Amino acid sequence: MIRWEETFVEKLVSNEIINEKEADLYKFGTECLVLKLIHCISYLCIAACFQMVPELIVIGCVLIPLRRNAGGYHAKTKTGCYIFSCCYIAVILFLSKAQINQVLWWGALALSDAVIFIKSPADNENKRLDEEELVHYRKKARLILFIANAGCLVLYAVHFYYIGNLVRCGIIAAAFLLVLS
Amino acid sequence: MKSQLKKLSFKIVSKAILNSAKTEVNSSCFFIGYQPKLPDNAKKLRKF
Repeated sequence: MIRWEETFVEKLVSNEIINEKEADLYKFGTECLVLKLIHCISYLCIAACFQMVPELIVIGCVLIPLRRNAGGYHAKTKTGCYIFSCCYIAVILFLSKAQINQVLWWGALALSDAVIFIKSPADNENKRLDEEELVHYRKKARLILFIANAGCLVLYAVHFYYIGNLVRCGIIAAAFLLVLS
Repeated sequence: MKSQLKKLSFKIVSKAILNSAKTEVNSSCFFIGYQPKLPDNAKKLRKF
């Protein structure tokens, strides 16, 4: 397989934009940037198919910061990860629309809060966390969890049930990824 | 002119790449996506 990020970074080095010592870092950055773009475009396409782009944005505003700090399940290959993530986004969007008993939703939220509070942060074999990182990300994940819960309650209090439900979905989705890890 | 433009676009892209690497180093987990292996010198981008 041609490592396109290597070819690109070699171009940056040969054009004297970066020095050779930084090449590894830039290869990593290129891979992350391209993966993020591919995933984001795909998620937006899925949401567009469901006619739920604003809903995806609201869920993403909760799910992404939580996921970035709490961690969770990772597929072993890029393709596996891509398929899993696209299916996961489709399921979240479907569930956010589904008519489910409110008691079940609130119960799932309480359970999710407990999971994120106790289990976060979870590392993975490509990114091991040291003690300092564990403390830092745990603190951040708990803070985001607190803000998301407060936001959800405020939205329900002011009768914005639909948006409140999406925030709740984001929290539950982040917790489920943590359970899978 | 053409080479200057090329250099400028490379500089802009390299900034975006570095920012992407910084974001990844400063988060516990890669978004919902495949987690690429962190290079050894990545920790110097850590902000805490």
